[in-house]
Amino acid sequence: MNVKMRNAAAILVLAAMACPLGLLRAQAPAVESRSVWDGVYTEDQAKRGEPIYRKECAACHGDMLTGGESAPPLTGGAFLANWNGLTMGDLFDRIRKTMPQSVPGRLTRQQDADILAFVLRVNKFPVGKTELYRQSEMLREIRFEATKPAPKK
Amino acid sequence: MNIDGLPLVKPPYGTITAINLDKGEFVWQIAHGETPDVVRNNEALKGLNIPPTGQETYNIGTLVTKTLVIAGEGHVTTTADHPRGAMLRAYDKMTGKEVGAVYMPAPQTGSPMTYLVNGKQYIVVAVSGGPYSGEYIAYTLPSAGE
Ligand code: HEC
Repeated sequence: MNVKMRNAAAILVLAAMACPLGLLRAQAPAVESRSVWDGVYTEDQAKRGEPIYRKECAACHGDMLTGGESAPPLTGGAFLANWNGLTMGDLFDRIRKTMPQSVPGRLTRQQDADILAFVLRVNKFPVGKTELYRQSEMLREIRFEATKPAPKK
Repeated sequence: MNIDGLPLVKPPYGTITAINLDKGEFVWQIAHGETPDVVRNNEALKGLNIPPTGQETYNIGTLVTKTLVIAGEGHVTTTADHPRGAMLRAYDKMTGKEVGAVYMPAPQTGSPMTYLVNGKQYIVVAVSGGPYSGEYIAYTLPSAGE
């Protein structure tokens, strides 16, 4: 980093600090984190994910996601408890790093995101208007909550 | 089937049962496993004192020794007593009374097993679930002076 850039960075920081409180407050709702109950995937995406799931995952995890002889279910109480309180980023990275178990990491980020959209639909999380991201950093902003949070007052 | 995370079926959701094979009778039956978070923390049950419900389990095996039945939990919970994780529990074989429990970072899969090396007893358990892809954990008591 050269000196000029470093100065620019310093000025940016100052500008952020000088930002009036009112403006900060106005921005607050935008950074409020979302959960899987806020419609984080689309119906089309889940439809795209279904055949990929059937081809790549169903042999072990079952057609209905209820698990197989040695692979755990991807729906139901134990599955939801496993991820409750973590983020979609954790779940996505887990699939990227370890699944499909025979050849981990073989699928693209887009394919994994589509499969995950299908998994969310089977688990009855609500559909939304935007597709599920395929970037781990962005997925980490979406909380996985097993049950619907109480409505905000 | 569940409503807002609450299963429609009445607990216990998971049990361990000792059966006297000579008589075909239950000797004891206990709920195995911490009450799931979605039940314990459910708004609809606020203020109620719910005894441990046990957990619906998936492929959880037991280890039986001369005096104990040992089995881990199949669900992740977070309670006042332990961080996010699951417990490996030991019960008195004759009565079903819990006599001890140790923490695991993820739920048990398969069955625990035990072995002896140089006079030291070990228990090994496979865990997996959530961010944990299959791992083995071995437990033993500290040696004298450790
Ligand atoms: C060859 C069999 C096999 C295939 C194919 C497979 N899995 Fe798995 N999967 C397993 C096994 C076995 C486990 C449990 C071991 C572990 O935790 O890694 C598991 C665990 C998981 C978990 C963790 C579940 C939890 O709650 O802890 C997820 C999520 C998952 N698989 C997703 C997938 C997806 C998505 C696919 C398809 C892209 C897939 N799997 C394909 C065998 C398989």
